[in-house]
Amino acid sequence: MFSLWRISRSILFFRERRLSPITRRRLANFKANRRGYISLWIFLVLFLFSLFSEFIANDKPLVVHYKGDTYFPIFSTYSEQTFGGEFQTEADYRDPYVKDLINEEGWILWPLIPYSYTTINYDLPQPAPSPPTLDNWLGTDDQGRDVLARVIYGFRISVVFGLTLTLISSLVGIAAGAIQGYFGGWIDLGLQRFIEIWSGLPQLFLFITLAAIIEPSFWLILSLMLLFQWMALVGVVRAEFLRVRNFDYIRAARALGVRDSTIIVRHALPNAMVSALTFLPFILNGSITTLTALDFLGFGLPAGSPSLGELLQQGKSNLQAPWLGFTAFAVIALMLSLLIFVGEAVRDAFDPRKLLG
Amino acid sequence: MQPSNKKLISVKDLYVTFNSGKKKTEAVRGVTLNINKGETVALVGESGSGKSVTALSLMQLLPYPLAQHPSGSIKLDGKEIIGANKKTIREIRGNRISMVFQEPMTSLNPLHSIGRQVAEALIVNKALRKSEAWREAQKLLKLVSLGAASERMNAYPHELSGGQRQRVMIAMALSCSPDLLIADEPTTALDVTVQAEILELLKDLKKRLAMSMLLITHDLNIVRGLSDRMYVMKDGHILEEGITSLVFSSPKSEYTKLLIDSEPKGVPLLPPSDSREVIRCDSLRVYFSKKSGIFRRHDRSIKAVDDVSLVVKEGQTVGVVGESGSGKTTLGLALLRLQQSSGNIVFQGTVISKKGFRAMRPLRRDMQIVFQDPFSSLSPRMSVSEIITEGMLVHGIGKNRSEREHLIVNSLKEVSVDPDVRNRYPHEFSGGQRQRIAIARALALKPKFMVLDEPTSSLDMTVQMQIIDLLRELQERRRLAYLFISHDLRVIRALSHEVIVLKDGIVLERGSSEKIFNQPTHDYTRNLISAALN
Repeated sequence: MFSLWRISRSILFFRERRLSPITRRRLANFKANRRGYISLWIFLVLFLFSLFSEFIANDKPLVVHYKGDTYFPIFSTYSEQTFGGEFQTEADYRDPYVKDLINEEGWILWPLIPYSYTTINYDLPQPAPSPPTLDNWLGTDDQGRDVLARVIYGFRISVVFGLTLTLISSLVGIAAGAIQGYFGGWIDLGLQRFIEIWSGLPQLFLFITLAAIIEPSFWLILSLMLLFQWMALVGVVRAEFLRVRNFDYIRAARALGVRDSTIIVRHALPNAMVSALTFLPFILNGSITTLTALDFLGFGLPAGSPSLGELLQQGKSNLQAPWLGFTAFAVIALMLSLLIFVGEAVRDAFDPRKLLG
Repeated sequence: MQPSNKKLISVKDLYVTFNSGKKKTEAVRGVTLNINKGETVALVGESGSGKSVTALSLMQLLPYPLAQHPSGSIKLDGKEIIGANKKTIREIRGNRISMVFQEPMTSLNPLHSIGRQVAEALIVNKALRKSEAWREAQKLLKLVSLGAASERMNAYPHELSGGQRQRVMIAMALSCSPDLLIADEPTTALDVTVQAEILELLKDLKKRLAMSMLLITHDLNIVRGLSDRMYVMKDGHILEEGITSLVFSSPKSEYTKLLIDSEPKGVPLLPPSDSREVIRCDSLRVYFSKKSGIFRRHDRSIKAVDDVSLVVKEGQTVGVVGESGSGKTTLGLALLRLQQSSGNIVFQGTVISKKGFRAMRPLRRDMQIVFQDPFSSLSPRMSVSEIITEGMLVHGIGKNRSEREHLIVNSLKEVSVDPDVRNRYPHEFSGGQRQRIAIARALALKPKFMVLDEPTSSLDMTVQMQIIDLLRELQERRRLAYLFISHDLRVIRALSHEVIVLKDGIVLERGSSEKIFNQPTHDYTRNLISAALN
């Protein structure tokens, strides 16, 4: 038997190889799909920026200069007394009193958006949800939190969730498919029947029931969804392995006495990776949509988390504040479209019938 | 009918190029050929010589605009075909020229009965009414001597054998009474005895119908038996042309000489007298069980190998002959314990028939296999040196990197492949070179026994001969024991000391190579030999 670790190592191994002509052709095919190629770059830039959300949208200043000393509130906590205040608690840099204290003997450098996803703006021109202003560029939600900040954090959590789920479920799915396809016989039959029964379980009801019992968290939702998501790739990989295991070079390897696990990882897996990789962007999209849907229904991430689904839900219940619905829609549509375009380009890249030209 | 001197087809200075991206490949470079009325012309060449492309351009069946004719002309009865409008070309395809392809398994629609498929061609091409077409189709199937033609009208392709399907294909091609029939390797995918029958049919049709035939093949035996004139093609050029018998008796170009000479020849060297037994099996059986009925009690097992016993000694080759489906490959796999079987197998004094995969592993270095298709037996994602190293690592041959490197170089040299190419990938090599690499992979383990599963049948004739010489030489040097599996009796004769004739998993006849070829006792063997060697 072989472990997940070995599969992931082989994938890395596979990537590190010197570029064979076929890989080069695939890369060229990928680039030839301009829309997908540009989408990939836009997505990567957005994702990279969102990884540093704390530096873009935060209610703590990046740098505070006070009485000749430099402080970095993003990294460490300072009490109000540090800046000549009265309380021993952490300084609330948004408090006009604290601001004045610092500005008298130094300066504050704020992030681009001076709100975190939990920050409530009490200084609103009208009751929350308030429309876009110079202060809150996309307005605030029904609890007075800055929508732009929440969207930035929400994008990150959605993508990270999607990526993690896709990665783990693909590893499990590929392993299961590989074992089924390679060994065939009773193992195949047994697992196949199990998958049929397992995929018949009502997912959504299970989530709703569990959400009523335990407080859902990022990892809990992830593992619950993992229980079902892994089956997505099994069929493809299994079919590929069933085809591959009768290839002469697999037989030749068996005749050389190579171990089954090595044959699976070194000889058979690269064949299956092509079809698996083609599926990945779409699985990623599916994962993100499922999380958004759970959040929308209120069974998703814990209350207060920045979530696109929750924003969508607010948009629905506050039709008088269209900036909520529009923002959520635009962000989700942009994210999913970008990923679909990338997926199309990946599919083109691996299409053997596609000639360059 | 005697060929007349009236030209039916004249091709002049034809070029074909394929564009893929910025790269242009010239497949045909200035071919000039003529086909007279009633004449059979053979176009001979090895794979990649451009012979099929030339034939397809006669019917304008190439993937245009990917393929292009930069210059040249093709005239049918004096009328230009290149650049003709679609309607003209459709008429030519339907009524003047038709084609029979190599693979009868995929050329028929599996969902329609053969009667319907032949009748369909008649309805489209000759505008017959349904009932007329049906009658006409029956006549055609009789013409191509399909046994019990009228009953078979409602049969589906899967109910017919390969040879019968090829007959149906020929009937369809004849349905428009063409002026020219193009036969593209019409017998390559068929068994030898069936091949002979189809060739007989083509000969007969040629006599009865006043039609010209363009025969595309790599098999010189077919050319000799069937064609009036022949063209030899290589790398897109016509190297030689002439009356078939004259070309065979006095070939002008070196290449033609080589082709004619490249029939597998020679006899195996005598095995050393002190040779010991390497592998033996007693009443080996491989059944693929297929149980039916509610209680799975009706056993309808397929007996792939049934009660086969054999012994192979050092330096000796045992040839296994049989047509497709005779169980010869299964026998080879079972001997190596790559296929479940029952019966006793003894390898170098050890009983291996009960050993599991793990227990077999240390023995694997002494028993190796070379497969038929060198394009699928080398992993496309591994370099040559990785391919050869793999087995060495499993068996701990070579202590360190440099020692293994040395061994790789040696085994490549042994199969006459330049060792400098060891870091390239398989797709950069030709079929013959790949087969050499596959042999090098097996040799790197220094085996005692090798199963050679049709190692030459997917190679060109000239390359075939080289591989046979190589195998013979290796056997002498290393005292290797071979189990040589093939359907090609000429190759078998060139290599084996003993021959086993298999049919439906049963040994029909066995004996020394000399005895089998000179005094075959079984009718089946006699058929095989006369089909293959005449």
